[in-house]
Amino acid sequence: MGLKEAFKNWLDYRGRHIHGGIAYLFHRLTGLIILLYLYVHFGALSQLLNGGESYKNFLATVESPPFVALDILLFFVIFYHGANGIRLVFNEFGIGTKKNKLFFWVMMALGLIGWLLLTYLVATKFIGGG
Amino acid sequence: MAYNQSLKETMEPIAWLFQLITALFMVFFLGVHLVLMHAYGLSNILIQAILSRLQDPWWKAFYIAFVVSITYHGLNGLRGIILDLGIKKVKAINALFWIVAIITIAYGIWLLFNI
Amino acid sequence: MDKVIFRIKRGNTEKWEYRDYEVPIEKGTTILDGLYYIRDNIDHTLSFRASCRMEVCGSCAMMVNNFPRTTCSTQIANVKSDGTKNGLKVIKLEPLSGYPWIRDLVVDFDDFFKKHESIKPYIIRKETPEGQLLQSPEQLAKYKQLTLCIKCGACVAACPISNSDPLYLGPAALAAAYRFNADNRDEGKNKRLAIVSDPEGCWRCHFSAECSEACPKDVDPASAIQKLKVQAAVFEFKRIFTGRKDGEK
Repeated sequence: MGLKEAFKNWLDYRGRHIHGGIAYLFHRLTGLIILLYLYVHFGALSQLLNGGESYKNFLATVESPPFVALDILLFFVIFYHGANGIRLVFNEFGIGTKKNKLFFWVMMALGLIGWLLLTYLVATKFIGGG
Repeated sequence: MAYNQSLKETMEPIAWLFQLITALFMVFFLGVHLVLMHAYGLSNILIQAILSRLQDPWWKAFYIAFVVSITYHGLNGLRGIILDLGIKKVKAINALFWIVAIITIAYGIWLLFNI
Repeated sequence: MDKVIFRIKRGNTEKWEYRDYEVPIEKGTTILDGLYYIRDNIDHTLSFRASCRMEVCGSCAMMVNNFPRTTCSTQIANVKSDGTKNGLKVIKLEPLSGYPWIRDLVVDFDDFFKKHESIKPYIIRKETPEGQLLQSPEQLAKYKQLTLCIKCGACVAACPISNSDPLYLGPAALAAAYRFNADNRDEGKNKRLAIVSDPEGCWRCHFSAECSEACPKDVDPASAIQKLKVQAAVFEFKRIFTGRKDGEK
């Protein structure tokens, strides 16, 4: 099987269940996004090395609404990966494998609550001023 | 057939266990990090705040453990995806994983000590 | 008379197309009934596998609307429509995904059986036993569900890893390995773990659990593989610390 066909099949969501193959696919995709962000983050932190003016500009960008919106999107990705991941840690030790659908949706609900909480904390801080 | 090949490949179960362990560590690390960085407006990301935090040995330890965990977890996940796609050069992929992981961790820790 | 449309993938890898067939149905008509109708009355060149008609031989699995099902036990009324044509429900039938395609709805199962054979699917004893090997109902209950596997191959067709990595042992073989490891009469657990703990063995599984959704006999291979992973991890760590080559005492 060639790499192109393998990749196409890996992404093929048809026939998969939300708590099964779709959850798996999103777990992989969110993981890749977060890994990419890690390197972006290290790059941004390198800015601190220059200090002073460039960092003040950086702070201004961080406060801007489009940036905050992207941040909130990132939190969504992280909370999905984390919530699904906690379920997977239990599953890979053999716990809860018989109740997969229920476990998945419970973790999704918890993840959603966590994300909404964080978004609320962020929004109130920025609406009220940093 | 590549399955049932030499069983010296004991990296897999160790890698699996650490993927799960770092996952649990990260729920804690990221939980603290996200709230600290984003729920207090700008007060925790001002230069002074960052520099003073990095003086504290406990915070340094936290960040080092965080960097090691997340780099390992992310790159091992990527290694898993590559192997899932049926790429057979397992030894080469493992070697590449170690090289990238060590470079990333080294850079992250260097950043911690030089900001 | 009610009718449905079977949209069937005909041909082989060199030349193929989807062809529509109108099939009359009544209460309880299965997809296999429909396939026999087409072959007997419309197009006798249609190739498909079937035998027992009662979900015990494992011959008739194929993709029904993108999901692997055993056609003898799948009632047409229970299958959702994959679009409509002339007001009639359309059901799409394709060969099992992830297997080499021979023709029409027939795929090559050689690799599937080789992988199953490779995990030593038989009781292994250190010495020939004298008399009966005893097993209590509680001991049987530990693995009985796994014995119901009919080797239909639906689990492998559903698995995202099997579909992108042809060398992966697959849920059927791995669940079979656990079936024997969990059997109290067996003494070959370490031999099997040495085979299964491989980059292309149980470590390629990430619990997407589609295999357990697809299995017509509720074998739940997904749970078995996670338990197998724990067994394999313990085995490997023991091997690292004791340095034994095959983990045997």
